[in-house]
Amino acid sequence: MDRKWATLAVLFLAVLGLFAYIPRTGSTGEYHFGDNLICYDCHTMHYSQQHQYGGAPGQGSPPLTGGPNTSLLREAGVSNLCLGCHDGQNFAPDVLGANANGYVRQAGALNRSGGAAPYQSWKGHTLDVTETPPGGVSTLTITCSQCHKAHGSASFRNMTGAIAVTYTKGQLYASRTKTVDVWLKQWLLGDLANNYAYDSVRFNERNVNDSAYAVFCQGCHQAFHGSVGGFAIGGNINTGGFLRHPNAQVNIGAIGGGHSSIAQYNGGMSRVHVMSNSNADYLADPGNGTFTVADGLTPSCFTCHKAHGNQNPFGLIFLARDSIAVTEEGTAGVLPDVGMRNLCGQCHVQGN
Amino acid sequence: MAKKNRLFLRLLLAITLGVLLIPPWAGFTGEFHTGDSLVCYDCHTMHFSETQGFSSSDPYGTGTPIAFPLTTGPNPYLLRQPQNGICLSCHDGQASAPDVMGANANASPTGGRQAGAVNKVALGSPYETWKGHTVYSTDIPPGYNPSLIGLSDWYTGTTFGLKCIHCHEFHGSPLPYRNLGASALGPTAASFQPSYVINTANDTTKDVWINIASPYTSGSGNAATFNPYYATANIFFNRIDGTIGSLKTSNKIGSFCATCHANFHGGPGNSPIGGSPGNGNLEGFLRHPAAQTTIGASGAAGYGGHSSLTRFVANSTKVKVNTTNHVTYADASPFCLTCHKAHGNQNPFGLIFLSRNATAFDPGPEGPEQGGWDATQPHTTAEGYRNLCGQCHSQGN
Repeated sequence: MDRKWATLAVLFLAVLGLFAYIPRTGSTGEYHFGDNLICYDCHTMHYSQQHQYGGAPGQGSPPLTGGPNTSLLREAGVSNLCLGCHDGQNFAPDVLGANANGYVRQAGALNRSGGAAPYQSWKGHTLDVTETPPGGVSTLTITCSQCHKAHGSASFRNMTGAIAVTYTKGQLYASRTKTVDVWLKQWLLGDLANNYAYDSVRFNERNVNDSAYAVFCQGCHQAFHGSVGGFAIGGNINTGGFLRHPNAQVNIGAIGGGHSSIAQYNGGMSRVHVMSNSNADYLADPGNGTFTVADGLTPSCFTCHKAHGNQNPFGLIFLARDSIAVTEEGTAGVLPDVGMRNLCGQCHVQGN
Repeated sequence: MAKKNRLFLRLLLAITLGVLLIPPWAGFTGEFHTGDSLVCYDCHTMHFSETQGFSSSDPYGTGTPIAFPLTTGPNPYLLRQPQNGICLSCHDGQASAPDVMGANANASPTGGRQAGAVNKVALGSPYETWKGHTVYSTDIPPGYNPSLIGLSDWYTGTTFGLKCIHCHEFHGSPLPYRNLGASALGPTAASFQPSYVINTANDTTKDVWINIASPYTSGSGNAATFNPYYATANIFFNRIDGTIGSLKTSNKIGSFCATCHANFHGGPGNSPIGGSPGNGNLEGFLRHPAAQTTIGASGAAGYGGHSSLTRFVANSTKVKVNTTNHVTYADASPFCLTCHKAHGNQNPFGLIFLSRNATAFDPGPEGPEQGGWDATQPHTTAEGYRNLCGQCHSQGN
């Protein structure tokens, strides 16, 4: 009996020890998932709080406002709740309008209905408006939870959708797992710039015939994604003639002729994101002609658009190939006609 | 500062100043739809959806209305409208761009539009289909014989209809006049792309001289600005003899026309034209020469006796010719645009019925693009035809 209890005790301690070695963030995704899903970040049981959970006076963030609110939320409405932390705070990524934290955000910036320049509603996703999304069929109200699971998910950035956008974090790029959709350089609690910056992510091509990211966007923008030859994209994989710009399947330079050019993409000093399974880093290897058609670099939604939006029409990334600095708008301060040529010129030679 | 450094800096300054003194290269940014003026979203839409842009007419918030709302589509090649419709969205009936279809919606430039007007079936009188290039037509071009000029069978209009892009490179090109010489011509397209100069001084090494002050900035969106650029009165064609395929040419405009109408092109001794230079066979032409045939010259140069330079020089108003001297016309040779408007007009075959006694291209009801009349003539096709021939020929005049 004593031996049995001793064995159990050892096993118990071993398991405890194992948990001690599991990084707080490493195996539990990003914030708002698993270990990082903190109930009282968003909920209040009695809509009353005089002290924070660490003992400091006050309510902390987000403060209790507009309530008591349905679903025991600390603030009225999902968007207000999220923005209580995700707007203008230095402890959480700022997703609305100008970035309080200074780095170039991969997703850019949301705007709100009635928002002033330079983040007007036509420049990205507009919180709290009720509309039929472009290319969509149903009317919906845009809130944060349309795209992000409030209680987190194993998907990149806690994204919603029936099909997860899978990701790894903390791997060396050259030896990364390519059977996931996104390579995330790292996720460390509190290191906003390195967690969420433009150059902290790369996109793999888990499925050469599709893009999980585009499938996610298609959840609202149904007509903007599909297979080559289908009703949305049309065209032919060998000859082009697409009805809409492809977001998967079509590799840069594969068709040739008057279509995209891998040499054009290679020759850029500053490049947009693409889906790539090459070991060479498409963002960190400028102008060296590293990539060939065989590498199968493929554009997708994030190639041209910031997921949240930015200061350009439709959240477009007006990045010039010779741009020294990269901003959330691509290249800062360019007019739409020049910017559009910049963006198209990342891959297309016409007019560039 | 060390002497060596001072010398280097002086040299650098001299080079910089030298570069700045180089005259603006005509068309460095080309015509509209080239380089800086090639605006992707004028013609393309990525998703055929702009419902939530800045406004329906200006989705990108540029302050300038974009072509037209998206109506018919989505279209292949991400076009905002089906192919010819794209071009005509701006180039038919709009104040912001040259009108190329039928009647000119804008005030006429001096002497009318140099190219005249294309037509389509739906237009009807006075721009019937037999009066010029008919967009959407699936007819084989008259005189189509690409092998004469070293081309393969490139023309696709018999299947898809005549398109603007059969003649004009839709993504522009910095060198050719009017973006002529489509990439559909293949790797030798440059051989068919006429060059041009914009200046009050001619450059005879260029095929086309647009006689207006330089620089000209395209894309003003205003007829008062672009009219001089497209005016018959301001456009001249130099003579640059050469060979294209098996045919003689005196200007790349002629070479360009030959990509569809090769049987109508060439000079004396070429198979479509006939004649035998050098042996005095003055009666040998099978078709009107379109190159290397000097008006009024005797012998192999011009087969004098048929045409008269004296007559041509004395004309009050002249049709266009290829020449290196637009005052003496000493080496003037007729070519395609001597007799035809490139797009067409209200006359059969786009012919220019210009009387040598007309004081100007006719500003009257028929309009200058049709030519001009002297004071007493009946305005008939027969009379007009004689007027045109009478520019150079005295027979019957």
